[in-house]
Amino acid sequence: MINTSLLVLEAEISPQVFPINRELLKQYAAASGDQNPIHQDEDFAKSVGLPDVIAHGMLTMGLVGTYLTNNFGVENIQEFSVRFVKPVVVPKDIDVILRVTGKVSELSESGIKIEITASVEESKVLGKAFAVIKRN
Amino acid sequence: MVNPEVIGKTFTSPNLVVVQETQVNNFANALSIPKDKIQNNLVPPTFGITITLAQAQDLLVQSGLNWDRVVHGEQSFKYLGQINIGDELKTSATIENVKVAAGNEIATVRIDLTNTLTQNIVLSTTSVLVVRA
Repeated sequence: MINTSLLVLEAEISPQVFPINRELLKQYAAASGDQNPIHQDEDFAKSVGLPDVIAHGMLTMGLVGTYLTNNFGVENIQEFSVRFVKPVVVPKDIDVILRVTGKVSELSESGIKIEITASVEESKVLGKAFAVIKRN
Repeated sequence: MVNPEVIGKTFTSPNLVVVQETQVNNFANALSIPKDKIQNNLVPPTFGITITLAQAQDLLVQSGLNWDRVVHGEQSFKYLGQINIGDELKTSATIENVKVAAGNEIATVRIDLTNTLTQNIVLSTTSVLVVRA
């Protein structure tokens, strides 16, 4: 865990990568209760105009949540917000690699704002993604 | 299309939710959260969605929205207190706004989770859901 009292403005938080595949989509669907077929059934996804099966937006956000938990501890997260700007397409038999990085964008007495970048193959999949972390 | 009369109204669900250990563990496993990172029976940061998304879906579908073409546009969580395994939670949902942009219907739903024992709101979530044209 990061000692937040040592963080300075613009400090970068070490990146972490997460593989996403069809198996994980099934596991997340079962764990979250979100069984929408666009996340599991290729034919259904294509029938509603999507290029292929896409990851749950909340799976991507959840993995970013893991990144925040690893670095700051779940008990210190005060706010967490994202915009889903690009679907994460998950082709059959492939691990899609989600890369997450963070940077300190604001520092105050009460909290630290972390600007988050989440990308797949150099394309950002989240926009306006940030968390506010309690300062300890 | 969402019936405009429901916008701004708050619906408190009669169903209370108890946070189950198995569900929390399955959720943390799916997200590769190491067990030692979740102390004191706390839940992962996005766990609240397992409660709120179904509520949002029920409310929006009952209000006339076509869920088949919904994608998640935005999501935010404000952590006002802690959620622990075993807590009993009450949900209240408000459709804050519905608009149409480029043919897509866009609904903003806020759902607050209240701990029934302390009566404090522990999590305030906002979901923006987009019905693709």
